[in-house]
Parts: sequence; structure tokens; C-alpha cells
Amino acid sequence: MNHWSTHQLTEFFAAVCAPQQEHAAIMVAVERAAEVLETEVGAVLRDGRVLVSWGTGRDQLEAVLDGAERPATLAVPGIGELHVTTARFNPGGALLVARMNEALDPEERQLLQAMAQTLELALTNISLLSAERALREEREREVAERVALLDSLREARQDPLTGLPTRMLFLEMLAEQLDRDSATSVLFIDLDRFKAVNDSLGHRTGDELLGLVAARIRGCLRPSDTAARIGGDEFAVLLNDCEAHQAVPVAQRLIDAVKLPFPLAGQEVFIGASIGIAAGPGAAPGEILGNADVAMYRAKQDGAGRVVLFDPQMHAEALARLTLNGDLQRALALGEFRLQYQPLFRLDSGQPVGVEALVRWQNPDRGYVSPADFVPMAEETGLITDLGRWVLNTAGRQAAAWRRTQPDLGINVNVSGRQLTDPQFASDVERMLSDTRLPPDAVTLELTESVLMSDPKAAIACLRDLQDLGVDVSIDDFGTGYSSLSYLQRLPVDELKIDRAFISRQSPTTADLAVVRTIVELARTLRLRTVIEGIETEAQRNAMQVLGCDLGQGYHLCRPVHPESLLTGLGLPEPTWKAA
Amino acid sequence: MSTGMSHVSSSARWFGTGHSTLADPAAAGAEAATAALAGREPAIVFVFCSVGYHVPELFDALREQVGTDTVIVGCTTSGQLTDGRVSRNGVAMTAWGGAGFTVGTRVARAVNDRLREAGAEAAACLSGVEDEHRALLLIADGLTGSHHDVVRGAFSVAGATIPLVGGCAGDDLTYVRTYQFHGGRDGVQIMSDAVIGVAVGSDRPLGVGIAHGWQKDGDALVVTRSRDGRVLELDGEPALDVYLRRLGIEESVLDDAAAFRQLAFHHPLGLSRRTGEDLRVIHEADRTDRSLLCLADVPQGALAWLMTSDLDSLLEGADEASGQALDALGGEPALGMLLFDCGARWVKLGDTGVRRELAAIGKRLGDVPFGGFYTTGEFARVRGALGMHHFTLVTLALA
Repeated sequence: MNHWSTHQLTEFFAAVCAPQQEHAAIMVAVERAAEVLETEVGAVLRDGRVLVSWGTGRDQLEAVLDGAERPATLAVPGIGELHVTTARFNPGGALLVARMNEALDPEERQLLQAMAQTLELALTNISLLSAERALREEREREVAERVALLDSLREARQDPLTGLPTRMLFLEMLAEQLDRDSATSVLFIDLDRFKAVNDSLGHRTGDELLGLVAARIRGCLRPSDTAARIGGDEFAVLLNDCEAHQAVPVAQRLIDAVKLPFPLAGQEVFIGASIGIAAGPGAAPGEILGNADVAMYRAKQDGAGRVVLFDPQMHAEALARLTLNGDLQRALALGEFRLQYQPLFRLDSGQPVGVEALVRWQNPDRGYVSPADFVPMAEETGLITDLGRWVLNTAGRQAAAWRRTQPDLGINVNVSGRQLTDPQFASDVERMLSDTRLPPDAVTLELTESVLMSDPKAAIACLRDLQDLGVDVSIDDFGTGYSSLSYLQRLPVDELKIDRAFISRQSPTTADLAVVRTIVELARTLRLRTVIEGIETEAQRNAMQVLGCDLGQGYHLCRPVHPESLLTGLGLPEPTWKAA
Repeated sequence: MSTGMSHVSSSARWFGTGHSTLADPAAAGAEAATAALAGREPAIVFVFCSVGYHVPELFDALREQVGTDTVIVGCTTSGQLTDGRVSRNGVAMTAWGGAGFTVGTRVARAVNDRLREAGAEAAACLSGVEDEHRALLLIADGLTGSHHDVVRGAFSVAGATIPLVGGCAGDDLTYVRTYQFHGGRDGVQIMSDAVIGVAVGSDRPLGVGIAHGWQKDGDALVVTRSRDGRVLELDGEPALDVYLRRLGIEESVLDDAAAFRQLAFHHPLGLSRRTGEDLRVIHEADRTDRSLLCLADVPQGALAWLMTSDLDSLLEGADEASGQALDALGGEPALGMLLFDCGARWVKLGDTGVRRELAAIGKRLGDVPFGGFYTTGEFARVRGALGMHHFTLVTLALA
């Protein structure tokens, strides 16, 4: 029992069974067998080939074995004559050791045999465990795939952010309700000013806000009603057994609830909601939801925070808008836009000092389209950026041509809010000045009061770039919006263009005149030029002159004219190139 | 990895030793170098010194005396010895040169968690050393875990044809930090966590000797739970409890770690092996898990004995190790001998015993110069594939 060899088998067993890879187990077996039996060489052979060799090179051992699996001795170069012992193990393996001076005694041979059998056991276990591991990994992969699939299905039906049903589930529930043939109303809710929250406080806060909105919506509903998140900042509500007119107070309640401040990111956040309502049965679920969406769009158009009931006419309008949009895109490409120019006169001398470029659209099918109809659409779709650039360049070129004979003539160009915030806008103006060689002070860019005051801080930054170029900036339609006087003082502007509303009556009233006088005095204080728009009678012109307005514009003074008629219309000489 | 290679072949073969216990490192280095080199240009100089020296100054004194091709290797120790002299604090230098010697070196660094790879890297010093007689000498950090793996890595490169000798650096048995040295005349690097391989090539035989002189004491114990060098259980009981009970020692001895270590050095563990017992130095006890900490791994499932020895047996071991190396020279006269003696043997032998051991070696070697150091583990393999030892004296004789 106390023979040294028996003590070694436990250590050998522990060492050989530890690795998880077959090659590593074989390597350990060979090393430990050589160490325990104090042999110079150890090897594992499989099907007659040397798999692993220890104490001498594999190729060298392969060469001296020369195909013999169980030679009695081996002559290994550099070591000498070695006594060889091998022990077989399944399948087709043999554990070989070779020792100098003395062959293995019977106990040692028995130990070697036990080691070989241990190795066989270890290799079998590794093989089984590998197969089991592979199977387990395959199962785990399958389970993971299944879980991922279930998650994606669940997410397709339940919004992970708010926990509300998604559009898919909402439509299913709506279909179920419609099948019962009972009155059903659908509210389509779009949040007002949500984008501003996302942009200023970050998406995480935006997500948090959506969660809070969802809770408020749920809080306004009966247990039998369903709220869903349709996407982005859009929600929908399904009101069971509810006629459209009955849904209006619910919608109003929702708007009131959303209006209340949300405590977020350490402050109170204010948003609103616009809601469209459509009712069933009578249409497919998708159609009802679409109708509510169209109604919501109208609510937005009418001014945020409103409730609008769907009317089939809205579809026609929506379609018309789509068509208009398509026509607008083509119009720019086909060159259907034209510019007319309306002069501005000094009221004291009656001299023309500049012209305002006004865009016109003559469509072959529609005929003349009013800017009031297409400019808002161009603003909405972003086409205004390209259109505005075209106006700027065309007007600039025309003004440069006129200035050959009328070197003091200025040009006023209208600029939209989108253009102002376009990072390219200042460089567009700079390029136009460079191309036309117009002096910057000959150009006045007109921006409406509402554009400037909707985000005065951003407007100041954009206007600074323009001011650096040297062009003048005018506040158009002044007096109709809500100008903060403190911002007015800080805005880098040169001109106030007083809205025509104040002289809309043929003979201005005392109150009208009082407002205009106040604006003129304010402008003087701020050292701004004043322009009064919409002069249509001599009485108006006289009144404005008396009040001290610098410039005037209106049909009474001169209607908008085509460029080729402007100079002759004003009684001014034609440019020499044209005369020639 | 840094390498060095030295071929000195024009002058007569020589082997020299020097020893100094001067406290000033420059003076000690100069004294030991002058004695070992005696104006000759060595192929290699081994520097073994105690941890207290400011070694750069010590090496400056040596570098002034060596040639451009001279390789300098060495380490800190738990004592050093040369013919006729042994010291706790001091420096011993052993050098050889002359016709027929080749030396190549290779250093593996940051070896702690890759000992096997480091062993193979260090053994790559053998490439380029094609002499008829070769040996691989390893000097390793003594505190980096299982040095069996260093041997396995070295064996995977050297194979069974090349004998292995060497020792692990020490730090006066404090087991805190050891240093290894490698360089030449232009500078010597001082490292920890390194394994240095020295390929010793000669046109005359090289002889290796290994012996310890320990016996089993009492019944065998089964290592029922262990992890690397930490023995957690013996015969299913906390290892520390079994150890204290077997030796009849009170728990209070653990209050003084140094006292326990001194005691444990007298009772190492022996693992059952074909040609005797593979010894494991116990250097610490851990009261928290009642385990014993050994310098090398103790495999779970192994059969172990507490080992004991007496002065005579240890002295016989020293004589035997020296004799084996001389015998292996095949009748050629010995030029000199390198010794790697376990630091724990000094503790067991005591100061008087160490001087008697030195005398026994000297008596066996006659006029043959010898030098070496007290280690934290010894490398030696002539037969078989095992090559890590403890409580053992390993010798390398050069003809």
C-alpha cells in the first residue's frame, strides 16, 4: 500500500482531469507521467502517430520509432539507449515513456497502465462534456433567440417607454370595438413644444416627459378606455361607447391636464396638446385613426392647444396640400417663380430710395398663386430655404443692374425664420454680395417681428453674422406681434417697418395715429429708420409724413411692378445696357 | 527579453571565487571581484549578494574589471558561500573563463502569472550554444509561485539531453522581495519577477549533483484539500491543526511568525516520489483558514509526510551532492564548482552546522574552488523530467 507509485495516481488523476481541452489533458498526462516515473521521454501516440512528445522532439521520436508502437528500447540522439514502456488506451491511443538505465518495474508498469486508463477516462469526459457544453450553448442560444423574439413582439405591441399599447395593438383593439358596432371615438393627440423640451433638456428628459404625459392621459380616462402611444410625441385614445361630440369634453380635459406643469430636471416644464377626433363605426380602424390624425393636423394649423372634429372635407384639403407641395417643388425646378418690385419712397421728398422684392408664382394649371397660400407651405416643408436663396440672388442681380444708373437705389429682401436659422444663410448673403458687387449697405433683409421674437437669443446670434457683413436688417410687420422692448434694444436692426394694419382705414383714426406716433418715437430713440406699409391714399401719406415716418410704401405711391417696368414707371433713366 | 553571449577561447581555462563582507558596496564589490577575477577576463561572473547592498555601486566596482563580452548574472540571496567562507551579509562572486567555454543568456520578465512560458523563454538561451557539453542554469525570483512550471517550460525547450541546475533568489528568508541581475560591462539590470537562463557550454564534461538528506517522520498524510502552495486540509482536518498536533506545538507559537518559520524549517512536508521525497518548505501559517503555506505547489490528493533530518544526514547530503557532480565529470579533473544550497538548510544546520557543511564540501573537493548561494528553491535535473527541489543542495562541476 505504501509503494510510492500508488500515491502518485491520485495526483495524476487530479491533474489530468482538470483541463477542459483534449490536447491540454494529453499534454498534462505526458508531462506528469514522465515526472512521476522519472523518465526522460514521454509521449502519447494515436493510431501509430506521435501526437505529443516530451523530452525530445516529436519528429525525432517519430523517426526513431519508425512505425513501431511498442519497441523495447529506443536510441534517442543526445540521450542514449532508453527502455520503453507503453500502455494502451481507447480509442487507438498509447501512453509511452522511455527511461535511461533501467526499465520500469512491474508496479511502475501497472501505474503507467492506470495513468493511460485515467487519460482515457479524462478524454471521454472531455468529449462528453464538450458535446454537452455545445448542446447547452446551442440551447442557451435558442432560448436567447426566443426571448429576443418575444421581446420584439412584446415591444411591437407594447411601448417600452410608457407601457402603453402601440399603434399595432391600438388598431387591434379598435377593430375589436368596431366589430361590436357600437359608437367609438378616437382621439389623436400631438404634443405641442415637445421638440423644444427634447432639444433643450435632452432625450432622456424627453423620454421621462412622455412617461409622465402617458400617466396624465390615463388619469383622465375611464378604466374601459384605452390610451396608446402611436409614435414620437403622438398618442391616441380609444373611447368606447362614445359619440364624437361626447369625446370633445374628454379631449378638452386631456388638453387641460397636459397644460399643467411637469416637474422635470429640477424645473417646471410647460407643454401643450392638440387633439383631433374621429368616430366610428363606418370605417376601417386604420382609416379612423388617420381621420383623427388629419383633424389633429387642422387643430395644429388653427393654433396649438385646440380640439378639432374630423370632417371629410379635411381629406380634400389635405390632398390639396399634398398636391400644392408637389407643384411647389416642380415650380422652383421649372423656373415658375418671378419677382416683382415695390418701391419705397422718402415721405418728405417723394424720392424713391429702394425697392422690395416680392415673390410671385404663376403656375400653368393653377394660374397666379398668392404668396399667402404657398409661402407657409414652403416654410413647412423647408423649400423656403431654396426659394429664399433664389429670391436673394435674383433680387441682388437686378438691383446691381439698376444701380448702374441709380447708384443710391437699395434692395429689400424678405427672409423667413427657417432661412435665418439656416447655418448657410450668412454665407449665402456674402456670396451674393461678392457675385453682384453690391455694397452691403444697399441691401436690407426684412424679418417679421414674430420670427425675431419667437427666439430672440438665437435671432440675436444670427443677426450678428449679418451685421458683420454690413447689410441692414428691418423688422417687418412691426406692431402686430409681441416685441419685448428689452430685446428690441439689443437686436442689431436698422429699420422698423410699421404694419399696414395701423393705417388700414382710409383716414386713420386718432388711436391709429397715436400708435404710429409712439412707434416712430420709439424708433427715433433707438436710432432706427421707419417705414410705413400700405399707404393707399393721399391722406394716409400726409398723416405719416406729419408723424415723421422716414419712408413709405403702398399702392398709392407705386404698385409692385415687373423689373423691366420699374425705372420707366418711376420716371427714371433706363440702364445704359438696356438702352443700347 | 535581453540576451548576452560570451565566447572566450584564447587563454587557459580558469575558475575563480571571491567573497567580501565589507559593508560598503563599492569596497565589497571591488574586493570580491579582485579575488575572483585576479586580472583575468571572464566569460561569466555570478554575483550573489545579500539584500542590504546598494547593488549599483557594487556592480560598478565589478564592471571596471571585466571584458566587453563578459556576462554578469546573479541574484540576492539568503546567504552566500565560497570555498572556506560563508556569510549572511556579504557578496560572493564566482567566475570562469579561458579556452573552450561558451555562455549564452536570456531573460524573461514579468513572469509571475506565466511561469511555464517564462521557463521556455529563458531556456531559449541554449540556441547558439552548440558545445559538446551543455547545461541550462536558471536563476529565478524565488517568490513567484510554482517553479515546477518554470522547469516544465525549460524542459519543453531543452529536452532530456541537457541537464538543468540553478536556484531561486532569496531575501534572507524574509520572503518579501528578491532581485535578479543581468548585464555586462556596460551596465547591469536589477530586476524582480524575472527568470534568467544561462546556457553553459564547454568542450569538457559538466557534472550535476543533487542530494538532501531528509527522512520521513511518522505516518503518511493525505492532502485532502489544497490550492497551489496553500495546504488547507490534511486527512480531512485543517492542515495547521494537524501540523501543530503532530509536532506537539502550542497554538501560541503562531503569535510570532518568525519563530513559527524557524520551527517549520525543521519539519518540511515530503511528497512521495519514485526516488525519494519531494520536499516542500513551509514558511507561513494562516490562522484565518488554518492553512499552511509552502513555497511550491502541493497537489490535492498527494500523499505527504512530515520530514525530519539530523546534522549527520544533512552533512552526508552535502558530501553526496558534491561527489555526484565530480563523478559525472567522467574522470576529468574538476576546474571549479557552483553550488545552490537551500536557505532553509542553513536554518536546520545552524551556524555551526553550516561551517561543518562547508568543510565537508571542501574536503570532498580538495583544492577545487567553489562558490554559490543559499536559495529559496533549487533547480536540478539530470534524469527523468522533474527538476524543482527544496531543502536540497545542487551542484554544477566544470572540468
